[in-house]
Amino acid sequence: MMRWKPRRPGQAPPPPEELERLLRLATPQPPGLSPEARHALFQRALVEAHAASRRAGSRPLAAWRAVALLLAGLGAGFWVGHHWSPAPPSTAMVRRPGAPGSWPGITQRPPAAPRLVELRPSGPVGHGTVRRMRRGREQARPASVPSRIPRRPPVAAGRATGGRWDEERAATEVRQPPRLFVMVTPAPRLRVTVRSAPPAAPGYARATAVRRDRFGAMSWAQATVSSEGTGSRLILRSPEGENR
Amino acid sequence: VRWLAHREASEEEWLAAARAGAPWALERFYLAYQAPVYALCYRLLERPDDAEDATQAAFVRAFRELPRFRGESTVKTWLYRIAVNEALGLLRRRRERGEPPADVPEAAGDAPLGSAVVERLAVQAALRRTRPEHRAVLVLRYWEGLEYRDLAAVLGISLPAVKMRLLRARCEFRRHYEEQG
Repeated sequence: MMRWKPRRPGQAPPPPEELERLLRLATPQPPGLSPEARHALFQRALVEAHAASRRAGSRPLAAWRAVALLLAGLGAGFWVGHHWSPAPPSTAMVRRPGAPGSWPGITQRPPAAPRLVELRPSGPVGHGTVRRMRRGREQARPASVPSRIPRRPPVAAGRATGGRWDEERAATEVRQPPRLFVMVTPAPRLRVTVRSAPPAAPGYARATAVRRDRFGAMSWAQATVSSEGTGSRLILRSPEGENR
Repeated sequence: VRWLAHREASEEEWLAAARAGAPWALERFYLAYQAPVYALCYRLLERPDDAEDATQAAFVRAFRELPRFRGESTVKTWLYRIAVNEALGLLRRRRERGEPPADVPEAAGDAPLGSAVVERLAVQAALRRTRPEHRAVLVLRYWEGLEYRDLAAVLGISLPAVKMRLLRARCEFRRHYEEQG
């Protein structure tokens, strides 16, 4: 049998059949795998195949589940929004006249019927707040601005009426603080309506109703009555803008 | 009784059970084809660890795709196709990473090598330098002994394309073989 050897320069190329013979003769024999290695390879392949099929199978299932949950959530939200929308308890905060920034009392949202909100004198916390605000204002005040703006004195006991002291009326005015009569309406839109306000009260009175809407965002409405010498002025504010 | 039934099941029976995902049938399937698949991977990759990795990847794919096997070719051809794809992917990744080819096996001791051994080493070295596609077709044709029709099925190309690729592979192999002179 002719044995072909690597070609030297100038030597003829090997015939195809000789190439094939060389290739067949050079077939390598792989080292055999031990039974343990064979078994371990099978176990790994089986586990990996199961995991891969589980991953591939769970992907569309998870997508369908997500879509179903989303649709169910949207449906439930739509139903709740149109059939059952309990208004969360809102608060009506009333400010004491003449003391912006003090919050003497917070009441729960009143029913739809008109409700009388007392403008009580503030407690210790209110006084502290007022003091702090006054201190802040004093510090921020330019030197050219007087520290106290002259105001009309409040109604005092022993007020003269027609040249005589009206003791009974003066006592009533002292005992009863100014009142702000507000009505907070329920859904769909939060509104604060001022029914009556003390026209003779100095400073201003403010009622604010705050509640969460169906999407969880805060919604509020506010009514302010101020009387600064020229008579009462009503300011109604809502998140959309300001109405006077 | 069940173990005996599994052991005496014919190839058609355990193949059908394997397509349904029965673990005992998958084991039979693995035991029947592990050795040739591992040998093919070893001849393509020339490294036992790489061959083991490629064999595992091939059986993972085979276990997953066995339910979709339509029987248009023999199981061995279908499995060879998977294994060749896995091994070629490994070869290409190895080339992209710039890894050196597998080590040339050294002769034992200082004894002079016989001409047959020298020839075999030279052929293997030349084959190692050919492109992966050409190496695959040469290995399948001359080391695995596949016919043209089976080559076409394994490589997923037509019969004329197989002949053309084999011709080009032989030319490349001969060039590398002669360069070793």
